[in-house]
Amino acid sequence: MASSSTSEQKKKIRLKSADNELFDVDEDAALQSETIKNLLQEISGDQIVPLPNVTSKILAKVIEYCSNMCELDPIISVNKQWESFFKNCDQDTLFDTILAANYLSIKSLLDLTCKCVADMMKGKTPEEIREKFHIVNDLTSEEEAKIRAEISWAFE
Amino acid sequence: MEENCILPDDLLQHILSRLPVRDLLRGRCVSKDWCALIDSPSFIRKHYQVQTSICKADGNMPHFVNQVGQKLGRVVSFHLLSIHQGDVSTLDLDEDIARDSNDMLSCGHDYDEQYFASCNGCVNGVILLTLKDNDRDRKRDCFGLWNPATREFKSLAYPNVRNCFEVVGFGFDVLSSDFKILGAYEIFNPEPVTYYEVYSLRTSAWKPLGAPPIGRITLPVTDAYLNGVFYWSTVPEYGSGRLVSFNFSSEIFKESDIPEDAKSRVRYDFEIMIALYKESIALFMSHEVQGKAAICKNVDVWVVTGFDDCGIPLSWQHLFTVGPTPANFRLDVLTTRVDGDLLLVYVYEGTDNSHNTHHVELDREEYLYNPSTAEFKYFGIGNWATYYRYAESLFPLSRRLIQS
Repeated sequence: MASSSTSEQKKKIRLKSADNELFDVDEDAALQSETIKNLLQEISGDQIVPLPNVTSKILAKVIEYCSNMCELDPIISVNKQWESFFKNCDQDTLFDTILAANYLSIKSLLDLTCKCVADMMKGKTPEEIREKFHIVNDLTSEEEAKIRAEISWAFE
Repeated sequence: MEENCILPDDLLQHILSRLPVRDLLRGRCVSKDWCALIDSPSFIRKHYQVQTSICKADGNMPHFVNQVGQKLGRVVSFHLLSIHQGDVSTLDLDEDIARDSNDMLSCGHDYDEQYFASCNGCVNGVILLTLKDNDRDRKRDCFGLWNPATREFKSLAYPNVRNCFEVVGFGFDVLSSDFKILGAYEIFNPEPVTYYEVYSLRTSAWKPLGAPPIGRITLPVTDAYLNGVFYWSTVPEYGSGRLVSFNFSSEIFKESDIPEDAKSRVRYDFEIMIALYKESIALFMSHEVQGKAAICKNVDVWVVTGFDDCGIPLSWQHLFTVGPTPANFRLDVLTTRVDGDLLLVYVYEGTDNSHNTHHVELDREEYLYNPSTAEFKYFGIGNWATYYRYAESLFPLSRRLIQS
């Protein structure tokens, strides 16, 4: 099953990050991104694919993820490893990866990172969520009291 | 920490749609943006879609079931049953009825009084109940819509018809984002004629539909509803089965064919059942086959492989056959699991000599049937009355009526 790819040289795609770093990536890994797939159809030959919305730090992680997904390991265990990585990384990396996965249109990565954020929110009080995600409460105290009264059981 | 943690709205939606309803109701007081997003109709629809697909991906979508029991104060209890894991959790209707102070049941009455409740369907996480008072005058009989996740309950009155009125279908009009109930009653003139009424939650009113020329349809015990269309099987005459569908958007009944093989072999309406199977609608037909020494039963399963724009089946495919059963056993399909396994009940029928009648139910046992391995697994004796697929939703019933 794995014999076909070992004998021939894998085709590489050259990507350029926002901070002008170049990455040579296996084609099958790069094609997990719908955005890159579409860009490759627009540009000709061996041109560099510019990705002005993704920094080299995040792009390196995204490429690592896509390469892992292409290796024929059970996808579930690959996903589990990445889930544990995103749950333990800093919040900026996680949020930047969500933005990158969205921009690059890599559905499995977007779903996985969004799931990690959702899991961080589960069971938290509104105060804890505001603090953790730096959200300003712009509800008046009357408005907040009204919402709380409607569903007091959810706060029990 | 920088202030760049705030994600664009569509990504915040993507994240929040993975949260359980309880977290989202609390999340409404995080900020104005969060509240507006969680209350928006597009988010409510997306959230239900995501919750359903999470359940399906886990292969573990619970069924809303009710059990008839003899609990004091009410003659039924409601549960979520995981057919996958075999565990059951109980939902408390009484408390939610009591919280709705404007409700007919609690208004001027003590809700603790005895009433019978039966489940008539579950659509988008909302359950339709028929509530019958123990009083003989039936004045306080009503229907109830219940969202166990938001714990909202709304009662609604019967239409103004004199005859016995029964629900035959419950669905969601996707065009106007409206929950609708289809009910039927008969008038003898002197032959019985069936009339239909449809209720819309948006208008809070019943509306007559006239008398479409279809055979008798009755509410199934499991889901027979897909993408805004409800399906029933009828057997208008011996050796001729038909499929009836009702589109909750156009409010039009349509009749269509069932597979030729099933159509010609069916004799009675209890021999065929229409139910949701994976992502489509299937026909389950029970028929007799000659075994070595006695008559045995088979269940044939056909699935719809193509629908037209109105949801009418265009083509069918025979999927598999369960059986034959041992002699004196009847095999009924109770419901289907999202992964395609069937929940079946083997009913042992004997002859009751004292009454000299055939087909007396002597024993029943439930089994899970895996069509790809043809294996039966003992499931137990659930004795649930109805089985409807359930996933949590935020769909409002009255407090914040959804706008399309």
